[in-house]
Amino acid sequence: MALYNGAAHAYPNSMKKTLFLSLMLMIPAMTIGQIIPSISKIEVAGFPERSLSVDLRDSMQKLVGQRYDAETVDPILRRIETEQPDFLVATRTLEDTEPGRIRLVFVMAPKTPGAAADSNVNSQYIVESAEVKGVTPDQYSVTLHDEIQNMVGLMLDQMKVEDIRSRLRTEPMLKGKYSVSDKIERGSQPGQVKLIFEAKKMPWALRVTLGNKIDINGNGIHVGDIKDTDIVESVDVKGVARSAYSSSLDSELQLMVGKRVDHLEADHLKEKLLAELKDGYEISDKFQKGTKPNTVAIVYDAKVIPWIPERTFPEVGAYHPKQGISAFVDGNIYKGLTLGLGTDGDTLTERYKGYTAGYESRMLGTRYVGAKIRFSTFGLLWKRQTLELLDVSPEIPGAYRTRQAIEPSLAFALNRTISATAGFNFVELHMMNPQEHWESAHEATASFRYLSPKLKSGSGTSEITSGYEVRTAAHNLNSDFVYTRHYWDGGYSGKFGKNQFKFSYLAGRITGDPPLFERFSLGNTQTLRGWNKYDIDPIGGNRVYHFSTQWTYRFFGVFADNGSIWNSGDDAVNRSSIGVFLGPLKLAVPLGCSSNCGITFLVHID
Amino acid sequence: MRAHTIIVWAVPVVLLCFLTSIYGAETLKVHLNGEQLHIEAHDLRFLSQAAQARLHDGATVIYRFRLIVSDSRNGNAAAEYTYHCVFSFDILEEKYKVSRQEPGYRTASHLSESAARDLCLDSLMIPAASISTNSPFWISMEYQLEDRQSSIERSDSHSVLDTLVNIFGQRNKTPQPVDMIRGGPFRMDDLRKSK
Repeated sequence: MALYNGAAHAYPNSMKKTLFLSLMLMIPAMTIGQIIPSISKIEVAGFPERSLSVDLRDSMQKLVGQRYDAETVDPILRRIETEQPDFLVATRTLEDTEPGRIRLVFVMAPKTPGAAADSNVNSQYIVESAEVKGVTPDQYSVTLHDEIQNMVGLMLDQMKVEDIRSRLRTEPMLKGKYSVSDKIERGSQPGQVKLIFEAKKMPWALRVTLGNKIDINGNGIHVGDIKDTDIVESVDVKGVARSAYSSSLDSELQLMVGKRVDHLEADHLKEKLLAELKDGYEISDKFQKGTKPNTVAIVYDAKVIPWIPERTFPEVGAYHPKQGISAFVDGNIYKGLTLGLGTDGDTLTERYKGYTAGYESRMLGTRYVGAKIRFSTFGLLWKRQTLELLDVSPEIPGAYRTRQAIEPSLAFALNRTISATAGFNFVELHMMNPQEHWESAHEATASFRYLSPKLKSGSGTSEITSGYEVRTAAHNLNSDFVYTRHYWDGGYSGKFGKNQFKFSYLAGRITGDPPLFERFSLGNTQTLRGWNKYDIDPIGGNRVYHFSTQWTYRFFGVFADNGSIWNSGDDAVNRSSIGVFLGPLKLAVPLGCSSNCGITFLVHID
Repeated sequence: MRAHTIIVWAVPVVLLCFLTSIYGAETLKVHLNGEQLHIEAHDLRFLSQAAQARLHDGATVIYRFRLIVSDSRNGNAAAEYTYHCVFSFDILEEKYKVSRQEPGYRTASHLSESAARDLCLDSLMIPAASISTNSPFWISMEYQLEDRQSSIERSDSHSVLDTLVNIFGQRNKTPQPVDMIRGGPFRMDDLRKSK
């Protein structure tokens, strides 16, 4: 047995060759291991890139094509931190498809954990795919398309998603035509999600009318291109002196300056302003473009609320199967000038059609006094039941063909809840019988009305109204009719979230012989619903009372009516009805009705 | 009195009872933990349908809470505290995450909906030192889904009618409705004893 004693020995030639080749091969391998990759693309995650300054973004883009090393990248990183001091910044490299090239990602995270970025539990998942539904890629820019696709393979970045959604809706081919929303769905692999942007075409009517004015997106409707990222340039309160609200509120308002638009805060301060002005004003807030790009000027416009309530003609939009369609509109068309027209077969026993015109001022220099004058002219239609009953009721003034009136009045307000009116109503009636002739119903009128402020109770609000009106016609007013008409009405309305509860009452009493338009009537789309006034009181009555109770949940509701109409000296018959409604559509059931009645379909637009 | 008259008057009475039951059911309670009053409202399902829809689309929703201390039921605010809770829904694990933003950041994940709600409410605090020791007081809690994440607004184009309602029903951005619950009267002495 021979033992190796450690003596030197030579490598065989073949082994020398192998060693040499190995060394030769190691040299390029070592060189490659030290290759510094070049940057193929710059990306920003966790922050909208376009919110960085243009100069900084330019500097970042200049990194493209350069070798990636800390000395090159660190100055950019420091600049981002300086520009966005509330964020931490780090870099991350991702392999590109080409060898030796990388994508450099500046990852930004808020120092104080933010709402959207850090708090979204789904930010831990990898984006498996990203797509835009509803539009084709040629409808938005290639850059945006690339940015969307670059999110694939990265963790879900909520801020980036919001940034891209926001940019999608401002793409030239989508702006004003599409709304854009985003969502994520489960991916096909564990820990992965699919990112979907959904673009939906707006209705044609909106595209052609408001498409250029508004910007509908997944997060709301923006008027005049005001964005959440815009900075408040100024806050002004117009319409009231600075001394009308507190210095602390003024400070709060001015604190919004220099910050991003916060609609919630703006609304909150609007409410505070209203509270300090003691509800004597109505305030509209306007968000206007500032003098510089991406800035907003907020203007709170305060206007005095008149104490005297609006006294336009009662507006009607109704349908009753036995009384037909009623549609009458009336309103202020220009600086107090009022105009109304239509036909109404719902309110009275007559069906009138025609127009009104007038002038109404709810503040004659002061909130205490207002004035109104109105002219109206109506043609009349009568139901067969009314005419037949008039034929056998000679004590009741007959039907007329035309009704014209001039109604001047003054209004006085004691405060914002109590008001009163006094005036005249000169009515001329073109009577049909016994032969056609004109008669006058000249009335002196007065009224008193209480309208409570909105009473807050818990999360709900309540309102109480109460009113009394008297109209009296006498010979010394050059009237052919002599009568006095008293009328009381009022009610309670409470709104608690989506629930609304209403109770209303009315009562009336007439002495003397009034023309038909002053007589009371029940059994239409608002009173004793389900009953037909031409069955129960075709010529109306001179005594009336009525109670109505209604509960509404959103658009659905139920109601119960109870009331009576009769003539003095007769027995009052109490009638009731119940029903359900969905918005303006109602189904009413008269209770205790024996003939020619049943479930009635009604329409009444409030 | 005829039968139908009784029915007519019974309807509003029943409705009033119903409304009373709705609005009487959810009241706010408090308990003292150290020197902080914590809010309890276990039955309060404040995450609205709109918020749920947004959460299930994978986004965050933010609720803003305003706690108001007053010396009577409808009295003026003696102290106010505002908090924000951020909710998100893990679409893979189907669990909730909730974060309170201020005054200190607190977060918890893998929660059921009710646990997320309760954790959010429990993190709303009122310093006991800000409340008089022996006077009765009321606490109101206003809560509101912040607009930014509103699902109502996101569903803006579901139909022409929806869109028109949204357009003409909103000024610039519709503030979400502010809901409120209230509890009281409480006394600090009683709360300290029950502690």
